[in-house]
Amino acid sequence: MLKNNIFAVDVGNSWYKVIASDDGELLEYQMPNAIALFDEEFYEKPYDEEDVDFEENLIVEIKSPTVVDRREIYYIGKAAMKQKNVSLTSFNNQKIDEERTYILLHSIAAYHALLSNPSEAEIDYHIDQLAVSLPTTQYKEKKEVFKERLKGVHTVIFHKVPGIQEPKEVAVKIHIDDVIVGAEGALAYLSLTRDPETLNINNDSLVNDSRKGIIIGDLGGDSVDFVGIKNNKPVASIEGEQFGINQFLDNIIQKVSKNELYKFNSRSELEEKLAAGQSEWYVEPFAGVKKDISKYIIPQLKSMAIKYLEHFDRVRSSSNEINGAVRYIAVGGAADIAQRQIKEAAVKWSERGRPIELTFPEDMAKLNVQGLLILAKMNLLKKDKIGQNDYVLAKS
Amino acid sequence: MSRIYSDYFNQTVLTIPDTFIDVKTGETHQVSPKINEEIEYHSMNNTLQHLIFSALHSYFQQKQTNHESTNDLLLELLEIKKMLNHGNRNSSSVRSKPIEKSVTSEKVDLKEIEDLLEAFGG
Repeated sequence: MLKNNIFAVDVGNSWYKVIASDDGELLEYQMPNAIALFDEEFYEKPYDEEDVDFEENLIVEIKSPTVVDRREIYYIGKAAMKQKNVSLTSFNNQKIDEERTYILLHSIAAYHALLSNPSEAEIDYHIDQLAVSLPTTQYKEKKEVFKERLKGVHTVIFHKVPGIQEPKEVAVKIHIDDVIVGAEGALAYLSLTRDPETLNINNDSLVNDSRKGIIIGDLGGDSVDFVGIKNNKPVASIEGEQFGINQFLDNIIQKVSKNELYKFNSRSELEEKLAAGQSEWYVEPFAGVKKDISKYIIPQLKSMAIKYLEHFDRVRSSSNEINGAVRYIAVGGAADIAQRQIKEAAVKWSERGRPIELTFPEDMAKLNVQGLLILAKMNLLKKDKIGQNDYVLAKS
Repeated sequence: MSRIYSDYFNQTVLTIPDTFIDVKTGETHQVSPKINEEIEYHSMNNTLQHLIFSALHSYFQQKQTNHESTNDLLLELLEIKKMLNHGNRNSSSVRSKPIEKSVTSEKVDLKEIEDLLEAFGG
């Protein structure tokens, strides 16, 4: 079983995180959530074709029922970040209503298809099961619409592909058979408790803790999603909040630009530095000139950490269902970056008599996408078994 | 006060400020009279372009030799990596082995899976 193509995409406000499983062969990608309109006039021909990294030269056009066909061509991901007219996500981004979501999602699937079939000029790629995430605030009401929009056939045309002869176009047809949507945060629980291969429980202690209650706080770019887990299931009563790391990143970018004469090309450039650890917290406004920027970063991370814990505190006291929660788990890329500051802020909460003891699991930033892969496999298994039962019934 | 030097013959115009930032160290320096003199001379002589390129050439040269050798190495490695990848992809006989164990998941309770799907996905 599971000899299928599965595509799991954590649709983040800063990064798209992807795990693709082609007949069990796993590949991981991540791409900044950035697009920029392509303008032929300003296209700089690569100095040397051989040196061009395809990932940094993704120029796409989408033909899809979900995207109004204006025959527009975009730079996406890393290629978009380098453009002056780059567009990053806005505050309170409604993922299912934004064209950028579909442009990026289909393109990254096509990028994967192209890497797996490098020599062809036209590719048909079938996804048997797509799994995507939505923030808890958008999950309940929007998931059905999102599924309908994603199903079907979408064509992605890559322009100016390095290593491909003029006219340098490759068309990839993405066929999406089925879609399942998961809620950010809850997916992390799935990933923490289930084995991705056998789908069995592999963390009994966490499942046991869920009898009394667990709260997961998934801190992302523009939202913090709180999910309560009771008896191994999410409880519905907690809402997400419009709060995330992006506003703090913007503050850092502004301060560095003003004081150190260095302009980050995007939030993701800064985020990559932050994720790499404090030894990388400097910029080079001129070749060889290193300027320490930790004095701009640390205060921002501190104030984010305090706000994150305030949200945590409010959530645990606002919901009756998980009032007695025994485990609090921090997940998400932003919580990973600010882990130290969050721990420091937690000490202050203990001193005030309201302790918030957070668990920081491994691979915090990837838990949602891993959860999506598990969800997709479960859905395939279910369809598989039901199909078998039908077959048995028909035979008897 | 900044002065403008031009070299009409070669259509080169250069504005000389009072101070400049050394792009290697980030320190600010005065533009010395010696520099001004040199520029003036080459401007008169219509060789301003050549002066700038000579300066840039000596500025970059040391680094460049080092870089080139490592770049060559990296290119070689990249080529080897490509060949390895390519070989792997094409040998379909190797890939046809099942990668995931299908037996284990038989043990999973379908009812439980359905409940989980209900609770976590839609």
